[in-house]
Amino acid sequence: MVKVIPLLLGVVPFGLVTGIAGVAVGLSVFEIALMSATVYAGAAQLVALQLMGAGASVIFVLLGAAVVNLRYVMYSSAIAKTLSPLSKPWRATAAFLMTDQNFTLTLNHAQELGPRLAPWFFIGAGVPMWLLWLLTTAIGAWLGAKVPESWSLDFGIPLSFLVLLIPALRDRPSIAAALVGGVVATVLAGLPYRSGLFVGLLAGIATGAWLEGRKR
Amino acid sequence: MKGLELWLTLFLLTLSAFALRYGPMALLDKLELPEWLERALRYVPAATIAGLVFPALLLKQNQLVLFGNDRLLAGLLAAVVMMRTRNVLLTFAVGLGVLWVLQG
Repeated sequence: MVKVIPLLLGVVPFGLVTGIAGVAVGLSVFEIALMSATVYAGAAQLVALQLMGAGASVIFVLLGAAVVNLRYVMYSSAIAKTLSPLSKPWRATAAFLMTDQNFTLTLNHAQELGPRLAPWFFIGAGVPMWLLWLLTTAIGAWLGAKVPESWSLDFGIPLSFLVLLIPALRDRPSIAAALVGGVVATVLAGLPYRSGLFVGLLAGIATGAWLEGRKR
Repeated sequence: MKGLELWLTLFLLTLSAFALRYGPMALLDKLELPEWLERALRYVPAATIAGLVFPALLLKQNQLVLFGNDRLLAGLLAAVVMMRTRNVLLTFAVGLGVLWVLQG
């Protein structure tokens, strides 16, 4: 359980910034807290809030969030076996609590934990994260514009993702997928509705999958 | 976005996020993914997360800034720390620390 703590620390600046972003777009503290409690997906929340602020309609907000959340499809299929011992309600709970962090942690320690503990570790790591997320976004929203920009708290967000990206660069295809995905998303950052992210994703997947195919 | 439109959006966002997290594991009992899809899915996290990190480090006000970019430098140093030590706390400390120093 101690292993979760460093990752929990990363949640703090992320949560604060998301809360601040929420009020900047006009949501109330309650609305942001509710969003964090139910949607519980930081990157997607940020993209959604940004799109809302830009006046996008519901459908585009949903699409933007869905692109960012697509990685959960991979996580879900990858962790399905590990979570299979759980009963349906517990599996749904585990799914609800799924984040980059508890997914990565559980998979990395799957051997040590063994098949009986692993699913509970996943949930056990997920609960404090959810609580912390809720708390930090609410505090961020409440603090609102009072946190000075000079603190550059928002840098905590790319840092949080960087910390997840590095371990994902396991082989050449993954590195290529990341490079291509990252560069394309950067070049196309000006496209509306964050569609650059989506194009980058497709380009990255194509690159990774193609390179993997060539290895054989 | 306010009122009913906001509540509708939050509701749909919640459903969508949960569907993506729960759907695959619930359905996988019944159907197997075709090989090409499994292979493609494998690269979604790396490509998505990079798609979130790169612009944040490389762009300043939507312009590409490669030199004199303190976030890029702080990010690169943090990346090196992460690669060498796999220590999350240290990585955060270095990343934020370097940025604060560079920003004076």
